[in-house]
Amino acid sequence: MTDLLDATAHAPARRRADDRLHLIVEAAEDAAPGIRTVVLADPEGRQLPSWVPGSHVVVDCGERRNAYSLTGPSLSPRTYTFSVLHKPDGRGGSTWMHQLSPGAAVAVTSPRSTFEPVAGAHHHLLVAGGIGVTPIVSHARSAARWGQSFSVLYGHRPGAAAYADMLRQLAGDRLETYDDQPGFLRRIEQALVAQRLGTHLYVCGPAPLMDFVIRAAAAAGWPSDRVHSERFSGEALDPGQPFTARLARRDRSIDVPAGVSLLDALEGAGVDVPNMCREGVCGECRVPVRSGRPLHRDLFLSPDERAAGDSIMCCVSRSVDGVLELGL
Amino acid sequence: MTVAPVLDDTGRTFLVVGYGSDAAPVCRGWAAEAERLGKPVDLRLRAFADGPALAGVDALLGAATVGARLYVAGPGRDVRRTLALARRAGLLPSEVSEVVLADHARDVFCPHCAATTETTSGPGETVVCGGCHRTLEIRAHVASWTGTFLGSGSVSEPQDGAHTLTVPSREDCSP
Repeated sequence: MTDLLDATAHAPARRRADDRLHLIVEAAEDAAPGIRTVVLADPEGRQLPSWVPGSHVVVDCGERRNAYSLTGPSLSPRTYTFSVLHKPDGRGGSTWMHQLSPGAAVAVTSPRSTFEPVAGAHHHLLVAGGIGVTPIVSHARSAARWGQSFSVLYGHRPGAAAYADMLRQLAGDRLETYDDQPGFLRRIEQALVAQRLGTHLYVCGPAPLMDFVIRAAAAAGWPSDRVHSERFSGEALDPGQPFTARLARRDRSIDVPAGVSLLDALEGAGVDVPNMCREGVCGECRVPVRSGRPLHRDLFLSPDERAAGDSIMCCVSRSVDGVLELGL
Repeated sequence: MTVAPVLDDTGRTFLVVGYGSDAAPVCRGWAAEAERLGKPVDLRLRAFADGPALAGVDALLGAATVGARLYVAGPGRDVRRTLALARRAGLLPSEVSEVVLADHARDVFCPHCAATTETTSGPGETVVCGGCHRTLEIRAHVASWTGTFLGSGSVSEPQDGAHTLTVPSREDCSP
């Protein structure tokens, strides 16, 4: 009850000028082999911004910035919880996260949403693969809380079923788990032809799984506006063809060689573009296109936005034409 | 001349519903196209979108699964009633196509008594509500959940006291 009288407990956590939340690690423990769950809190116990299910925060991990889906309660939370799969051959972000211990300082963005539940869905079919379970947990928590119809298909490596117990509590027998890939994929195909009208599909997991689910949904007649996916890591991209970026507002041209991103080329020429993930996921580095055809390679723009061809994620996307004119 | 939409071949199953004799050839065309694609099609041809016909469509929608596409042809009123069912069943606009072959009759919703009245009058004209007998002006707004045009207390005709909307006073609202 003292919380009700303690003004600081309900005052929102303070953001500094860089718009990041400066938090501390309250707990860090292994959730499954290779998966560490980290709980962050405001150093003074202030409430953190609420978030929409499916949201992630972008965390400063040493040299890297990685996006992690939040898994805890989303309304007026005191803590942010997420889980990190250790990728020893990755770019160092997950190794940094796995070394965190309680009390360590961590800066994160406010929660960002690109994978929210569809209001009015008659049923939510949630498909998770591996560590992709994390945004699915928040979807399941929200659906359970609001009494919405949902079911979960969760495939994982044998013995690495992170969040399975929590999902079981939230979903009961609406959760099906699979530790054999062929069985999991067969069940997904089967489920995609048996969902009642009004169902929306959400999938998060490794890129091959997501590609499989999206293809299987299309083959089963699902229109793309029923299919929602969350990708956290861009796929390895080819170096691409060289092109020239024409900066209309500066009356300048910049060469973008093969193997150099448009963002790198812009920065190299002293043109600052806001950016965050640098792998086509977060949407931060969007720049306007005035003429020329963008070669979209990001995971952020919608099909309609891609077709419009009037903006580009400069961290990964390139140009079909020899010259791409930008509104910079 | 109304052109029927072409069949969306990304659908897995097709529900085709038509009302009246003019709709029959359009619907048979859709059904034939679905069969040509080798996809299951359920064709329902009815005279009107009356209670039994709509109950049949509702049952069809209740048994359908995601991947289905709905095609509807017929007079405007019947099409709107069917689209409203589809909307309530959870279909998205991307899963529904319709062709209105005539638009003489419409359903008008009365916000005063919640009755729905059939009429051949159109937007901007009036209809007497079958429920509360107010004269309603027909607005151009169609509610997608019910397929009805919105009626409102007509300002063009004087209303007697019984038809005046009663607004509670500030005192009435106080606890």
